Amino acid sequence: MSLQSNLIASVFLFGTALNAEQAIEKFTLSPSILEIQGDLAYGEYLASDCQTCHRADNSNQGIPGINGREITEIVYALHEYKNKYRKNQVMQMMAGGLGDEEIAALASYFASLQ
Amino acid sequence: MSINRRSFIQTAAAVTASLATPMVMASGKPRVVVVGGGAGGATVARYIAKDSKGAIDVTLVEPSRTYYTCFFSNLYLGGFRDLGSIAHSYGNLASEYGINVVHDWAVDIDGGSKTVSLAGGGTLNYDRLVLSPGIDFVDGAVDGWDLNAQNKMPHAYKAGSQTELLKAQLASMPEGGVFAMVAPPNPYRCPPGPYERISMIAHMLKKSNPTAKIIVADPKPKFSKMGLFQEGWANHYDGMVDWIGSEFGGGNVSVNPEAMTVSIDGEETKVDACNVIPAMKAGRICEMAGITDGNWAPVSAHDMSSKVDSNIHVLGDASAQGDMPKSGFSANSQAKVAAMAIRGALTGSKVFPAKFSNTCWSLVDTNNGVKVGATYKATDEKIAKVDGFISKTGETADVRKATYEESVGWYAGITADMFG
Ligand SMILES: Cc1cc2nc3c(=O)[nH]c(=O)nc-3n(C[C@H](O)[C@H](O)[C@H](O)COP(=O)(O)OP(=O)(O)OC[C@H]3O[C@@H](n4cnc5c(N)ncnc54)[C@H](O)[C@@H]3O)c2cc1C
Ligand code: HEC
Repeated sequence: MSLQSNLIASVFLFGTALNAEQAIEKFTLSPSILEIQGDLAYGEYLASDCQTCHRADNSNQGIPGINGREITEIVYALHEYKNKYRKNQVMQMMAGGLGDEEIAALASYFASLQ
Repeated sequence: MSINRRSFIQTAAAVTASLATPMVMASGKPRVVVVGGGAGGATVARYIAKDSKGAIDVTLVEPSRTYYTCFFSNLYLGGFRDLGSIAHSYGNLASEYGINVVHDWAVDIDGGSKTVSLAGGGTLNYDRLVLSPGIDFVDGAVDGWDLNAQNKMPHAYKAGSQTELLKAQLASMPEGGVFAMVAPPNPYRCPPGPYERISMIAHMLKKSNPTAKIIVADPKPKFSKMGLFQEGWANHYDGMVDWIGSEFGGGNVSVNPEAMTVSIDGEETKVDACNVIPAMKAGRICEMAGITDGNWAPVSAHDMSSKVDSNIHVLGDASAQGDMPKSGFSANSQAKVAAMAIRGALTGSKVFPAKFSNTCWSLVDTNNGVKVGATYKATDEKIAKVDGFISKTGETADVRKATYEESVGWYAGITADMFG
């Protein structure tokens, strides 16, 4: 069981196309969540809490840059942390406090950045 | 009575308005003055300037031209960082964000006329004032120690020359010498700070002076991340660290900086270096503004405004806000809530419900980081904890290394978030 969740976590982080497909079978979001239109202004405010760690200049140093990623990718990542499919304690806590609307708002905002 | 008072205020306001008109025309914009350019102050100044896009005049009052972060100053003591890497200047805040940076001390605040007096003689007017002056020490908190003794027994709890001094004193300890720390009572800046410092000093002494001894006199029975630190000390610095908690008289302490002795529960020890971290209170300017209750300045959790004067916001260590620890991360998080609320009040921009977070990393040894964190929300009573986590004892080396790397990323992130 813990072996399996390890596998899922590593698949998400380093997954090849094949593994990613398997992983998506394990964790899928309903279309109703994926269709939420994020509020950019709300996303901008919420994002200020993230930018203490995720640098505005998008550099990768100990913590990944997340600007300009696909909305769906960010939405998935945050729901995966929230549901503990991804492991990092900090991100599980940060995402754990976010509702579906907030995740959508954040994803729209970060996707809009360079 | 109330009608009289009211019409008086209205007349007074009308007079003030007509008198003030030429000045308002001259600048035309609402004014925010921020006192203190640290974790709270630099962040709030930058966010207000950035997000108001020039609609608000922002002045930052800070005496130092270089801000040395307390965060990672313990890593400097441990030899993991040089001093230059924790030094930051205010140049970007002025040039990129148009903030009026004034290198001076605020010496008085008049909430009635909404003015800040500067040591250099000037006066600044504000519509909203933000105070983020950090901490000062409570007089007489450690028997035998006062600020005059800070050269013999440094606190190193405001970073810079104090930290350099402590490091030099540690380096010149004789072989097998004794270092003592007098730890502070709650609440104080950075709950894990003294214990990360012990880890970093042990790391440094283990290399240069392995028979040296470390004594910690603590007025508390337990401390932040205690299990994690004690695990680290046992595994990495076996036999070096003697922590004496309140149950064993750790709170019954006096020091003699001339004789270089520390007395713990009646037993006197000759020491070669000593770090006294006294009890703390809000930076003195909060008292001058008349907004303190006891040692700290109580605030509303919704916008960090003072419970005494709602035109004054208090951030970071100086505020009494509820559940958040006094940390740089907390001050930075509170600054964003205050910036949003102040912009909303002055320019009508949209205000969302306050959300806060904090994570405190500590380095135990090379590539061995631990962390504790939580999220918070605003209630009418206080900033209230929602959820949290803490590293576990017995984690793998990989997890500890990733935690350390995260902290390095965070340091780069928060300093960029403060200084642009
Ligand atoms: C050893 C140590 C390690 C730490 N490690 C961490 C860590 O890893 N992570 C973390 O999040 N936090 C850490 N902290 C805590 C962190 O440094 C503080 O909580 C944070 O700096 C508080 O921010 P602040 O804005 O309240 O005060 P400060 O950052 O101290 O800023 C206050 C500023 O106000 C100025 N000032 C004061 N009075 C006046 C006045 N009258 N007029 C004008 N300016 C004035 C001062 O010069 C100062 O620059 C650590 C602290 C210490 C001591
Ligand atoms: C305390 C520091 C910190 C904060 C605050 C933080 N993050 Fe993260 N974030 C991290 C770390 C560390 C990782 C890498 C975790 C891992 O290895 O899975 C990460 C990973 C991510 C990822 C996945 C990136 C990838 O490459 O797969 C996303 C998306 C993300 N964070 C979004 C956010 C959002 C949105 C917020 C604000 C709500 C936020 N983070 C707040 C530290 C932080």
